[in-house]
Amino acid sequence: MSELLNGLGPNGKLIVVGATFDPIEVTAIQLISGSRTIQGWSTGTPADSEDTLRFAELTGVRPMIETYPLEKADEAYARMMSGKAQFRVFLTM
Amino acid sequence: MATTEIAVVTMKVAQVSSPGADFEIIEREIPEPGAGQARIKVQACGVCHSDVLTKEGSWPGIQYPRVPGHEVAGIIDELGAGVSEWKKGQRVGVGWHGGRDGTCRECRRGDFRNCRSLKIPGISYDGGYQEYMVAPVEALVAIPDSLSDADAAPLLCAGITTYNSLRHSGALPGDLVAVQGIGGLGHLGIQFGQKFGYKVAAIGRGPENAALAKKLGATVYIDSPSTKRGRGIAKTGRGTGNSSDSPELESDV
Repeated sequence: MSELLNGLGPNGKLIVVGATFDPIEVTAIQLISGSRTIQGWSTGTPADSEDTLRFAELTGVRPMIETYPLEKADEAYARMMSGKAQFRVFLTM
Repeated sequence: MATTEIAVVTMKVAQVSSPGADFEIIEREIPEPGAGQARIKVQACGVCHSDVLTKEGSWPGIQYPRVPGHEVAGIIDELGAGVSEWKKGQRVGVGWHGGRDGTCRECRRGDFRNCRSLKIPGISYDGGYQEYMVAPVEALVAIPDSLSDADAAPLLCAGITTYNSLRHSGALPGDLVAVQGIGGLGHLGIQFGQKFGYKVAAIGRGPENAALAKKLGATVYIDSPSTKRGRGIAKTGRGTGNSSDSPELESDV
């Protein structure tokens, strides 16, 4: 993450959306040079979700998924945790 | 004496009985929606990295057993009292935003995303790893007919997170946006970024991902083990670098 900050242009912003408990290392100089920002972002409201779905409908943005039956929730979860899924793991009932 | 048998209709549920436990597939009674709630016949549910919070108990105050899942797509099956704006049979989803209190300072300002007692499906109440779930109607998302359950469910957490963060980022069409990690979030972030008119630099692992990144809409591919990532972005231009980080590749950071 520290390396990524060095790639930001002046007034550039790093938006963190991956939810982990790992610390982010940054020096004051990295932020001050070029007035850079680090921001966290969490999802949105159900109305924002509807915007997302309509935009996907309009533009053809689609998730790529791997499907598992509900009975194999353990296997699906392990696949997601492996980081090897292409790309979203998905249960069907 | 005649006895009356009451048929109990059950459903299949994948629950976590205690922090760190494996999933249990059990039968439970189908829940009834209360006032202001809807019961959803779940068709599909995404498995999100943040389900780890429920699975491992790393989110404070979770009551077990708990059913995870906050990328839900289904059909309204029953409505609780006082619900008039939604109809039985309507296709709906539920994402991370599973209900707000409506009374905290943020809600009173209309900033529902930051509700101080935000309810989260699969954490505050049972989520989508089950055949039927109950949710407050303010959490419901209408699904357009042209999107399948498979298209819609992952967009309700991974999709909205990348779409909504990018559209509020301040980046303008033509700006350079780097997406770190071609994973559950990143593969959507690249697509949304390209559709927003950004020059998208995808940062991935290994040369074999270059073709996929380009297919998703990236203009530039940066192979992270072989290129110093920051330097790679700097080389592509000095515009707004705006990175979405994928949990799948977090360990690589």
